[in-house]
Amino acid sequence: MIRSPLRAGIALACALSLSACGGGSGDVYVGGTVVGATKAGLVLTNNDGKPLEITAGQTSFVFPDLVETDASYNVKVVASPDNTQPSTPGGTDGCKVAPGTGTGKAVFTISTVLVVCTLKTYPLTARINGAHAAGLEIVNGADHKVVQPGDTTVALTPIAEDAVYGVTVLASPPGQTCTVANGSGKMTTAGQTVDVNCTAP
Amino acid sequence: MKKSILALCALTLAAGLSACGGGTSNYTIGGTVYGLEYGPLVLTTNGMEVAIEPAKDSKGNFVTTYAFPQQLEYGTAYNVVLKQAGTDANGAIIYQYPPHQVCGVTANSRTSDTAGRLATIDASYTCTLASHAIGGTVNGLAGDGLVLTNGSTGGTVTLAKDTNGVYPTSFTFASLVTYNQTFGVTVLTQPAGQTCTVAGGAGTMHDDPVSSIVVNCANNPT
Repeated sequence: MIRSPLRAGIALACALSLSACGGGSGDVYVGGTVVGATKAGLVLTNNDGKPLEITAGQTSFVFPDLVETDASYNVKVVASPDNTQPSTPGGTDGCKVAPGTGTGKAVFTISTVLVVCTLKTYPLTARINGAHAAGLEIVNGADHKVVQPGDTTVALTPIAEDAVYGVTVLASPPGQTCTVANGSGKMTTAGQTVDVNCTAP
Repeated sequence: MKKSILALCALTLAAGLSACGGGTSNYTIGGTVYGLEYGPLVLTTNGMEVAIEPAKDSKGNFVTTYAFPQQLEYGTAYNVVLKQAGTDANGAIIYQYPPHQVCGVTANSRTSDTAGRLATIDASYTCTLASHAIGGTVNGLAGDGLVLTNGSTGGTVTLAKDTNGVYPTSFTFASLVTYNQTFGVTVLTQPAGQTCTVAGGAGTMHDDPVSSIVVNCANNPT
């Protein structure tokens, strides 16, 4: 209650000079960081207010509407891009506010809200053509797979839509040469398959 | 009554003294090493040396506790450092890191103090696997747009001509490759009018940077 005259003063100052207080009902910015919003479609709200659309590739955000000092803020994801993986089919939580970062008291500029999007991944498959003895190893960068003699396909680690890949042969079986055809590209929602062709043993 | 109070005082004093190390108090210098996957890590202080080997805790993390063989007397200064392997041409100390790793003092750990000043002595180090660059040479590049990729997570490198209009003859990926991880460099985008192939693009990272990858570019048949 000690602060109420001060508050009244601030409110009065605010009323007299709206622009100085940011034109909104408060004077504290709420914002933070976005990870993985590679496509448009992420929409955030603060205190269930005006939606804020995050554009593709955006990595930080600030709500244009300010909140009053000491008022609480509550950031929610109301829509997620269609390339994200919701926890249940059709859900909107492909992007989530990281625990402990979305709510609190706005005592000063808040820039600690963290929104993380989990991208849907699609299969990257290597089709192995031709007989191959033991010793064939293929890589997609750090993703390393040992191909067994009986394998006709090998599933590499799935990757997100539009992520690049480059599959190549790390080791060929003794006496054989295996090469990858069309080993590089960008992932699509249909998945991608590369061909590993081995010479006759 | 007075006598018994005096006796109590004396007893308290005696008890207090021994607790404060009025006799000979010795302190064990030690701590924890986090992330040590390949041993040994050799730490030294006060003329002592301890060789630390990897161990895992109940959660499967690499965590090893260690202690130096002899204790130090109260007030003796200690400074736990990696064993020195020598000095370089400029006289700077070269430390002996464990195989395939680099180690530094763990955040908030005190590796240098005097014995007994702190309630617990915690001279802890954290080790991480070393990472090295990959790259190589480019032959015959004469078109715009060549992009190389190291799989999905190793990053890409674009080979564009410089401000003098000269195409590069070498390349290095900005992303480093961790020890024992594989890499595989492929052409993600061919340059205009040319086709490039990669030789020696796949491998497993050892203890040195890789600069042996060769990209050969040739004009497309017209």
